[in-house]
Amino acid sequence: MSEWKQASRLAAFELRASMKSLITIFIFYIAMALIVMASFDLYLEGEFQFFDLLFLVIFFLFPAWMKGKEFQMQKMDGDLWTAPSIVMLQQLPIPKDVIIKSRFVVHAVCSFPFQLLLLISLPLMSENFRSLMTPVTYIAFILIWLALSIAVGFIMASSEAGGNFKTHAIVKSFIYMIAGIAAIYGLIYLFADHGIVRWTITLATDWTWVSVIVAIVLSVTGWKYWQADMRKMIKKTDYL
Amino acid sequence: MPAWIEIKDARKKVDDFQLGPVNLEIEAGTITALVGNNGSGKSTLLKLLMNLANMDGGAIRILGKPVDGGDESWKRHITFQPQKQVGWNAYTGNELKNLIAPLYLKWDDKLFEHITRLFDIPLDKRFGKLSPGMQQKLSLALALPRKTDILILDEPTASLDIPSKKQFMDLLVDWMEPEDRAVVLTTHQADDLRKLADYLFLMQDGQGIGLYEKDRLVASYRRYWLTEMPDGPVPGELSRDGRLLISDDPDATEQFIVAQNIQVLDDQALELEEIISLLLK
Repeated sequence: MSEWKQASRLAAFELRASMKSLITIFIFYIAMALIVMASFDLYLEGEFQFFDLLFLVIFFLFPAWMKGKEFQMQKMDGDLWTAPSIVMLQQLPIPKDVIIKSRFVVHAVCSFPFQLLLLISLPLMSENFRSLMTPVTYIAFILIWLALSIAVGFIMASSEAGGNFKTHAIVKSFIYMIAGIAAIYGLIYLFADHGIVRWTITLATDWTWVSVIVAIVLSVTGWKYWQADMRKMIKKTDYL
Repeated sequence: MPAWIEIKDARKKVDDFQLGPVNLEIEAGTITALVGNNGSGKSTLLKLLMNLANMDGGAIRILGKPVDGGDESWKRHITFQPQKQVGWNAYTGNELKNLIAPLYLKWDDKLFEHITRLFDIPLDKRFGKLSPGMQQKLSLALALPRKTDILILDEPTASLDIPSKKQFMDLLVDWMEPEDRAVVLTTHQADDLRKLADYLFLMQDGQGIGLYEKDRLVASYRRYWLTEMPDGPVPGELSRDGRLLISDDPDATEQFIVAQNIQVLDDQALELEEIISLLLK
């Protein structure tokens, strides 16, 4: 059995076990997301600066929160933080590479359909967006965001390997992360004419083919990088 | 024939706790119990065996393969049942069986059905919703049918009721019979040790005190009630209380007592728990 086939089998078990909550949360998140998307026209007219932040949270974090509580990263014994499935699967005769791939399949199933629905809803909900896009530039726009989903969003899958962290270290890095995001967001807000989503529209319309190529390269690199990162973290972590 | 499990100078520091260096070899056809106080490092050692944590030094080989090497094929030959199953809560017994069974070439479905019937395990209930005792029974039902060469059990009977403990012991004895297999278990239950273990590996504060053959260990400790207690030290003497003497070298003690013209009013072998308590004192 190929590694991806084995990984998909493991992922299917997890997804089946949490199907009920997964569908409920999926519907809830879609409803929430569409409410936010309703303000997309306002954003394109430059009147809603928080749209970017909300869109990024919805796009990158909702898929990770969609998994049932039992499958999310959590504090285990001592200073171990990890997803319980990682501990469970390592006790079985499953190669580490298959375990890693299974986490990626689960994350892909939780993120791609949801994210595609968001991206498809944009032209449906916004006349401004429709007027900016052609079919080709719209595909480039979707590819850019799917590439970002892999290059940025799959850090959530990779981080399930966990690690041995003291609580104060986690709090400190969380504060740094929030401060970093706030700083980047503040800088964009102060110095750029448009927000992040608007920029990606510009990239898709003005540099369509460059964007497509960069998106493909970013996707492949991100996909491989986060798997390698997860492999490194699993090797380093003590699952005691 | 080389040992199936070879632990050489294995070391691991966890916060203030230092495990090892531990040296131990487990041979085919044996049941070895790791015995020690709480926090003596038994579970940590088992997790090192499963390569769930990185050693600070030393080496562990299972069936000749280093557990921390790139070749993970040794895992097909080993079953590990931890004290607390992590990641099982969301799955029913049936789902767990469907997940686990195809991973093992020798999976014995009949044995699985036999154990689930014997323990009356509800297979359609989520693991997390089962009582601790039922969780342990389900864990055992999913461990023994894998029929791997090596079985590692961390406190397998801790939550079991008395009849289930006996049934478990019978199952394990049957499981050992047909092929060369090895079992490593940790337990605080004297009954488990008495009925199951061939060897005891005693651990204290992270250190291995020694590997003892159980029957030889039991035979090597004796308690004597004497007509009078010699003034000087007695060969083999471990402790004395009035005219009661405990020895860990009965032959030497008895020879000395005869030479001193002292009579033995009564003598008795020590219980295994007492011997372990003395060794872990």
